Amino acid sequence: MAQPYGAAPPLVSLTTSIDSTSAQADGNLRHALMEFYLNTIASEDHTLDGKQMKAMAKGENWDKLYQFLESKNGPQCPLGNFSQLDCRKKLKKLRKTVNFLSKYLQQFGEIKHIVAELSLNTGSAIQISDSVEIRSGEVDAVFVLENVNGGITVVVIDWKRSLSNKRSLEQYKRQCQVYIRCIQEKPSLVNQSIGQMKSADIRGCLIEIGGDEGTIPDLVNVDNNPAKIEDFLEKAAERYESTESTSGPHCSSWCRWAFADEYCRSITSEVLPINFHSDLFWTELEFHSKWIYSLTQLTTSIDTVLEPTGKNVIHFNNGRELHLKNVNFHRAIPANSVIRAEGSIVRKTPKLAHMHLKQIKVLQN
Amino acid sequence: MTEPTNFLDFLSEHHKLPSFNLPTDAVSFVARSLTPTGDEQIEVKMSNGLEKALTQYSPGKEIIVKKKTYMSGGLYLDFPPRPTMEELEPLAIPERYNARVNSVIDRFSYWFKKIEDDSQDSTLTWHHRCSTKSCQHTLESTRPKSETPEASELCEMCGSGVFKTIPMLRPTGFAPLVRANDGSIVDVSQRKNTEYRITTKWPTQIIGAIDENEIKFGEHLELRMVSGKTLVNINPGKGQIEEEDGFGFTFCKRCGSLSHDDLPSEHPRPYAIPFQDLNFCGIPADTDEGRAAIRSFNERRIANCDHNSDPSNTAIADGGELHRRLVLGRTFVTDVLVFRIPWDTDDFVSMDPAKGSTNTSQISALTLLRSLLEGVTGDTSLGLNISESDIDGDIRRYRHEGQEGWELYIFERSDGGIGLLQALFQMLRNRHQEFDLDNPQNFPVLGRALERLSGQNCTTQVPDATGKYITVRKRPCKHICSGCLLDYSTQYMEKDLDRTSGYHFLLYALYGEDFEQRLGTTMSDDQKNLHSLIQRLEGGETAEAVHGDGSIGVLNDGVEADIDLRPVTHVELSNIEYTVASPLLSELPETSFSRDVLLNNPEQILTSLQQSGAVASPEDLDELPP
Repeated sequence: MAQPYGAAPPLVSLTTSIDSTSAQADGNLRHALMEFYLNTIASEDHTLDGKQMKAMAKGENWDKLYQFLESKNGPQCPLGNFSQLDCRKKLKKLRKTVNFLSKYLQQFGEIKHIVAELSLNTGSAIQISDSVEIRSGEVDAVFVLENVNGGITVVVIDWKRSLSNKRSLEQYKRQCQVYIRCIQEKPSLVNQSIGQMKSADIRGCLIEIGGDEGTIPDLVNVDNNPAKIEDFLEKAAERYESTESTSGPHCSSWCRWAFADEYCRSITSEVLPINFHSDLFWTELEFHSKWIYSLTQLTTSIDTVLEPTGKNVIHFNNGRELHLKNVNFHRAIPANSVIRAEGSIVRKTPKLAHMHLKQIKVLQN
Repeated sequence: MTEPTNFLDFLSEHHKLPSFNLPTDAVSFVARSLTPTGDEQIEVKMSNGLEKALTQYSPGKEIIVKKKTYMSGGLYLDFPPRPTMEELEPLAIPERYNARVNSVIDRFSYWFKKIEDDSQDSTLTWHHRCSTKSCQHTLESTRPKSETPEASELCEMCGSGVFKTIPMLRPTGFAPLVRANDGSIVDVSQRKNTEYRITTKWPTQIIGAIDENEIKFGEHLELRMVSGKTLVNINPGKGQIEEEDGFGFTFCKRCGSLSHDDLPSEHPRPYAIPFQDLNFCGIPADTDEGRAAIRSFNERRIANCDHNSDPSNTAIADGGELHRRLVLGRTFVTDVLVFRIPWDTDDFVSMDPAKGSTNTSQISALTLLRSLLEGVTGDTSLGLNISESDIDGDIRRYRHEGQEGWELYIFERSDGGIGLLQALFQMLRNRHQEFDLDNPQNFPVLGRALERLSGQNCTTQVPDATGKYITVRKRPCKHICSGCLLDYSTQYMEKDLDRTSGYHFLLYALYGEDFEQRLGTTMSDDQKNLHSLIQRLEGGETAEAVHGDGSIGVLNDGVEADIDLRPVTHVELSNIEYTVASPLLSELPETSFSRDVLLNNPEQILTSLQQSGAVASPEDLDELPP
């Protein structure tokens, strides 16, 4: 994963005024609403029902929910605008996920235990491999189910606002694997004994909590092969000590090192889900006409001027052009500068892509 | 006021002149070319009120006069401002002459400078609009972004949109482009870009909030009358608000040329420059400096205008930001009648649908508005004689105390209003007690809209047993038809209207959540289509269309045909009822399908039926013998 590197600060640092906070706050609010529903309503009768969720923000219930959200809201976890109307709109999307999940879980039997935002901070570190221990963290949701034969299934869930860019999910899958390991090592977290956990079927998945209306929420299963998890944990421990650029998952603005003054050096264009320098992005259908939110890194080939209301074009080989939007600063960037940028990207034609900037930093010129 | 102003201009700009049948803001279209001898020739000079001129004379619009076609290509000024003596005095003689030549070659250079420098000038104002297509909330401020802090924040209406700020120019006049070398009008057939927006109605927005003096009809429909409200009409060109580089026109501050696309650096001017334009410039022909200035004038007047892509010629600056596009528009004050209806955030489809999805919410509001407009202008029993040229309308979103919805507003087109809507509101208020939810058809305006939207006036072609199409009256049409909403005033927005959605929205306004029970058999044809679809699927052959009572539609007198006029209420397959639901509803049970999906994406219904096991799944089909 991306890590801090104590080297010289970047030569130039530019950040647009529109940062990622609104998207972050939106994600935080969805998580908070899900937490309230699962921990205070669904866990009471061990059922998942979208109608119960709908009632959460209505009448007298709203005061309770509002107080909960207010207690969650803070600089560490900004929830953005959480007026009653905004919450009702968010809950409408979440209801779809709840109803979908209700059906999905039926195959594993009856729900016995529900917990959301499960804290991994148990007072002592959880040793999940020879070299890795976990001291803190929160699991989005865990469901424990029992089938008619008494078989236990534990489902570990990580909520995601969007799962549309399958290439960028690797780090979330890894994260989920770590959670699975934590629960396996400390079954009391989900009210299970060590013996019960040994015989339990444990599964992990990423579930979309914000897809478009009329669509079925996306679900991505996480590989639970112990050997693979072991291998990943070993590599992660090695990488954490490394300052070299490395392949594998990298974070985005959620990682505080991506755009920091002492920025993460292990990110390169090649290791990110979208690489403007590769033919893949310009030719594969999966990138066409679909907005993808991603961190990217690129090198300018010619002198480029970025300015408000300007064309703001980054040129690549074969006449390919990236048009940067939301530029609210003026900057002349020389050729061969390395730019790290994050935002929503869409490929309009095989020669033209647009990117709505959320963050940008010139790393080197 | 510190600057002397023409009294009539002052009254006009402050909406103090009566404008009923008397355009007080006349805008001209002038085709100024040259005769073969190089003299000025005004081929066409005509004028119209600003509201009409914004559409009829705007760039890209073809205008036919005496069998000759002209295409508007830019702004026009009869008397362009010239440098004042105070501005000229400090200059040396050559620069002074140069400034004078500039003012006649670049007729708009001083004009733009004047309106940009004068912050009180109402010719150049600012327009701040949410760039989310489904929202487009407009801020009240007409000041630039640097003086409008809320324009830098997220839109409070949709919660996610970013405001687009664009200069708004009240045009002085329009003109076609002229070839510089011979002073002839540019041939329309050589122009590539002939697209234009044919209406300003769509972007009209009420600016600011409205008072609380409502009268209520049924469960949710509130009616308010507001006087002296400021509205804005804009012509933003062919681009849409959500497009980064398309909303508004690019412009040249030298010659006043406007373009939907990027205006090339070198381009024709919207006027010819005859020799005579140098007259009264005070440039003597008997000095070296004078002769140099005249030579320069003669060279430049037959060359195209060139803005050199210099922002000082192609952009309007505000707080360090350059605005390379502008919209043409006007603000006016008038009386507005507002129908406010909430949108059921929990159970209805979203007011902000995903990109590419049908915006059912907006369609239903716009459809209802058009039917209410027809209800006002078409109902002679009102006795108010309000005609289509007197009023117009549009929709905007509102958000109020945990509720969101639509405001359907009807406004008087005359500046200031002449009391027509005031009289209508008074009448509706006086008769409010007569409104009966069990029999709303008899109430003015609303009753007529309800009848029209219910499909009672529709005419549908239905095939008989032999396949011959027979006209059936009083049978709800599929989309909109000439019996309900399609006429010359709505044909340009046909794709944005849907009778069924509008009808359901009105029923919701009157009856609230129970509106579905009032639908009766008006969705019979949708249920029939569902039946046809299911029957064609493997395993769905036994599906039955279940009929209700009565008939849907009647044949013309004297016509006899073998047509099944029984209404279909639902489809039954393996004892399970399947229905097509109201297009307004978002979360549907497994046995109910969206009308939008039925019409546009029936494959989704197939998948759903296959997954539930109602019809054969693809795996089953693979096992079938060839």
